Amino acid sequence: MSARRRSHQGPPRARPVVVPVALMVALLLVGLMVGAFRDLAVVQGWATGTSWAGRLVDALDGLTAGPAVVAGAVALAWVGLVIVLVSLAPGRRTHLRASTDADLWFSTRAVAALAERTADRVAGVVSTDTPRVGTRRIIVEVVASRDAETVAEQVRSALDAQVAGLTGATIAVRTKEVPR
Amino acid sequence: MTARLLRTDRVVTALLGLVLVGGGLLVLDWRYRLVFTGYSDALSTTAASDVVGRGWFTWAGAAVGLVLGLLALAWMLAHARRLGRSTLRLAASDERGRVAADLRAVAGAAASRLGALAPVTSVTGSTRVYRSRTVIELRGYVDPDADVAAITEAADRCASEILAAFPDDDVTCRVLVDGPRRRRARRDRPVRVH
Repeated sequence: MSARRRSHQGPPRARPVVVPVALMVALLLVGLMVGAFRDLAVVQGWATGTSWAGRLVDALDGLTAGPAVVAGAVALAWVGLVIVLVSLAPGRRTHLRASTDADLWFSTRAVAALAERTADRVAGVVSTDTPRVGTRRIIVEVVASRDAETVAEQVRSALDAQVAGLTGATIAVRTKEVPR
Repeated sequence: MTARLLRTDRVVTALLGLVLVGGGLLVLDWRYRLVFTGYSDALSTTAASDVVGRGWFTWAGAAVGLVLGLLALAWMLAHARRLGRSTLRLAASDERGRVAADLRAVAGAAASRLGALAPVTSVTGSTRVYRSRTVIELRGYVDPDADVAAITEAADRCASEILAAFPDDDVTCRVLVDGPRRRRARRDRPVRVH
């Protein structure tokens, strides 16, 4: 029986970058609570010191729109814009769908490892590496002990037979010959 | 993390961002008077100072701070909550009784099965709910020497077996294969030569 019932959920994604930012906002709100209680304790005479809210209001009195304030405003608007963009950004796709009936997904590193090891098994290959591993393209770099073109062809056919059709990512081969 | 929690994260963060952008632009408009012109040259906080100095202000501030702080704590704790349901009420349930499956046990068994069938190591199983559908998610690390066909066949078989186990219920299986585990670089022992 084939696993035809698909989960209908989207591709696996990493936790969106908005999550740590949201946690920092939550921490900021907890800090606000602590500050408000500290001020209450100070004003009621339960603790010594001066009210932070009062000091903040006093510090802002008489402020003019000088260069430092303008620079601060530009920085504030910039940070705000970055936060808005972060809040909209989706989580990074972590896995590539395999071309099978099952709901099977491979990470790019898994595909790269399989491709690297497949290339490594070809005769004439001295060493392999994957300098670029992306969701669209994975480059396998091969160092050949003899005629680089022939070895590259053999590596390509081995990859085509084993890994190339596994996901939608293109697997390219780069060859180098061992310097003599 | 649930879709609702993620939506809350996005909305609150976006609101904070918009407030910061708005504040920054307002200060720039104060400096260059591009939109409004009725600003005073120097900021006066006399009125605000009067309000802050009143006795009720610190109590009101503490009350608002308490509400916001507790909401923030609940929001933070929601991120740590374990997802997925542990049991599933099966379609065989009726007025005579309730039939439920222990989903975590099923996920664990499916993970062991996948680990035995496929060249994938350290397979773990968990449950998720996606649009009220139950998904059993199996996740493991690929053995780079693996035959790809063995992995796809094993994943297909696990999915088929889960499908056969829950014929009347909407339970699906997802398999995630990660890159091989990075081994710690072995520190060679120095050899002492006398």
